Amino acid sequence: MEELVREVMSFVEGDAKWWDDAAQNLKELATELDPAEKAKCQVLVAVYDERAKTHRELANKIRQRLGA
Amino acid sequence: MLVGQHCLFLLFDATSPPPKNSTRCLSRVFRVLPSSYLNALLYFTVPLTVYGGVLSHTVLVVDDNAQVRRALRSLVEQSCDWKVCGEAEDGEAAVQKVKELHPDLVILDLQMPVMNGLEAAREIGRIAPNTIMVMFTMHNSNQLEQEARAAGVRDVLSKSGRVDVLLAALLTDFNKSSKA
Repeated sequence: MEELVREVMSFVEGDAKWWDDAAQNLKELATELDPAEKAKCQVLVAVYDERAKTHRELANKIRQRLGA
Repeated sequence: MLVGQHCLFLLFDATSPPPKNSTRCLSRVFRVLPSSYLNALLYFTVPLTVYGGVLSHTVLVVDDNAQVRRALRSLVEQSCDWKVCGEAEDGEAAVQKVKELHPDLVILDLQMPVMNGLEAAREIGRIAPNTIMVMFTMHNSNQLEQEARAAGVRDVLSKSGRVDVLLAALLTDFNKSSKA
């Protein structure tokens, strides 16, 4: 069971990085867009960052439980 | 007689949304009117201006993530004729802001500290039943949609969806509400 949880944690941490990278890439793309399109992209960047944060928090919770 | 005609014009105008260039229109009226009529005209102009201010539709953005709030603010202000009148970081603050600012529309997140989006929607629906509420959330499901609608939320939109859909929904919801 513990091995499975570690696998899930590793996946969740990988996902956090995935969302961070996606947010960063989109942020860079947004700089080339006109203001209206940039505003739409910035909402997505904020949502992707939020998603990354949620994944990181979940991974931390799992790590703490495993460590306890 | 002339004053009466112009008063009638202004009163009539006040029953419909003022055009974007209403300030320019009014300044033209001022230029052509004899000065003796200005006092009477001002009497009607002031409420018209105030009425015009109310008609610039106001939005309250509620999300515990400051980055999301900022992005939604610039999106709404870029794409619509609306103004973001305030922001709140949780449901309780949102209820307070609704009491203070009387927004036309509230964009609500679901998961927030202190008071979540559903609880806030129920409270806002109670204190300001004419306020349109749209939920913008990461956790979209049929069950949530049912609960949200029961709490008075007009639309539940996923944060993973197209942002254009959010804007279109805001406009549709507002138009529906205006016709009702």
